[in-house]
Amino acid sequence: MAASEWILAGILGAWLLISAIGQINVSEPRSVYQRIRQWDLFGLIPIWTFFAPRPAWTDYHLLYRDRLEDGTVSPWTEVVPATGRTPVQALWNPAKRERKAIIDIVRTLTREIQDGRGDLSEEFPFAGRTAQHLPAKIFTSLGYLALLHVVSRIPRLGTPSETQFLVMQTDVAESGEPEVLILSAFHSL
Amino acid sequence: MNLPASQADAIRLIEAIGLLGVTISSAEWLAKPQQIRNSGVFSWDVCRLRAAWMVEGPIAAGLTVIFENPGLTLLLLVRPAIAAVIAFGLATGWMHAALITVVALVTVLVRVRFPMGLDGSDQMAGIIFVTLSLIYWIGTPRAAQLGLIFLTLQLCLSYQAAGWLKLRERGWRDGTYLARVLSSGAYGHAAAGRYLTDHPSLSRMLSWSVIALETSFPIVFVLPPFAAAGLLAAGLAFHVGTGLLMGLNTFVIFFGAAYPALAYSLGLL
Repeated sequence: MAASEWILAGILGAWLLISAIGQINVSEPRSVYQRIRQWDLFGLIPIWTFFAPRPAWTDYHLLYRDRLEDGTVSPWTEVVPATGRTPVQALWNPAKRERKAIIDIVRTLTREIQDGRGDLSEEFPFAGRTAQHLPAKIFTSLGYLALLHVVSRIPRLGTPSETQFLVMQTDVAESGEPEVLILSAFHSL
Repeated sequence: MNLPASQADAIRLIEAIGLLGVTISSAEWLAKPQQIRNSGVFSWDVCRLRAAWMVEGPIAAGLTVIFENPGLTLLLLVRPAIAAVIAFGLATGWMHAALITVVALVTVLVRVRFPMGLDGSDQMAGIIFVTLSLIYWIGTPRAAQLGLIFLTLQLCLSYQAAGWLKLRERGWRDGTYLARVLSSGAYGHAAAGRYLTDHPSLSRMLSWSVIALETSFPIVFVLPPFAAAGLLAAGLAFHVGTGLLMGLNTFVIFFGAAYPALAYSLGLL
């Protein structure tokens, strides 16, 4: 083999080996993948889970409401309303990114809340928690800021002074009833 | 690049399916322009907060140019434009290699730009185009063979990792996880989810089918040709199923793009 082919074999072999090692205990918080990911800026080390170990069956709904200057509060509005599945989405599904992003952000935020409260061990034990109960550092966390940014930049007809976001979760296979997951404080616009 | 027909055919097919995938992927980002503006879910103002060097300094300034509009829109247009150039046969030789390398670069930059909202198919896209770039630049049959075997092994690894993870979970073994995820709004299909919830034995059977397919996939290398073809068809059917029921269109395309590498590798045996 030529030198370039040996180099290629080395690169691809190492890539495959690191990819395989990265799959070990991938669902654990301190998995090898979590350590690799810190250095994998370009996301070239895959995490192959295909909805394992536990698929995301919980739906998250991001809502917001505004407090107007006269003190009245607007009704809740959902940011990315769910749509039904259509056959076309097997070929063309531009809405999936935004919905997946909301899931990713909410999961990051719930993890950050969990990290800030060591006594919480269940997956989503924060249901019903309001801003007053959230650890203070959550207000500057990436997940919280991301959700606040999304609801703050939505174009409004009026001139509200403050906004508040709410994350609700539903599990259709269970009761299907929406449950409060995270309620933010009111923030100035 | 002079390659044996079997290699050239496999690489051409992987490239064609992959370019179709990145074209659709880019078009999907651009079809909802509000989501990539600074007022949207994928605001660069927020996404870059994950690393200090993305916020301040010369690298941050450079990233802002390409990751904020109009730079981002242009970046996303690069891949469909290159796909068109290649589809019309306007690039050959080193120009072709350079264009595929640009596609690989944009694909990994997309992963840097969007820290959320991506999935396993985006990972496969990055792996495919970086591998194709390496194959093209070296340009020898041995390099092509190494690249195709690498893609085959990544595909097998993806099934193995996911299959064994599922097998460990009681919820996958008894079919409840499949029924629940298909009942969800984000990844589900209302009618299918309801049906599987009402028919748990069917959900268990389908769940075991997925687990069996994923965990046993490497036996494709020892099966007789007709049985191997059946397993490949089952694998593709699995991706088509996730596309139809879960709306994961790019899973079908990018994992499907790796199958010609698998078919080539089977031909080596």
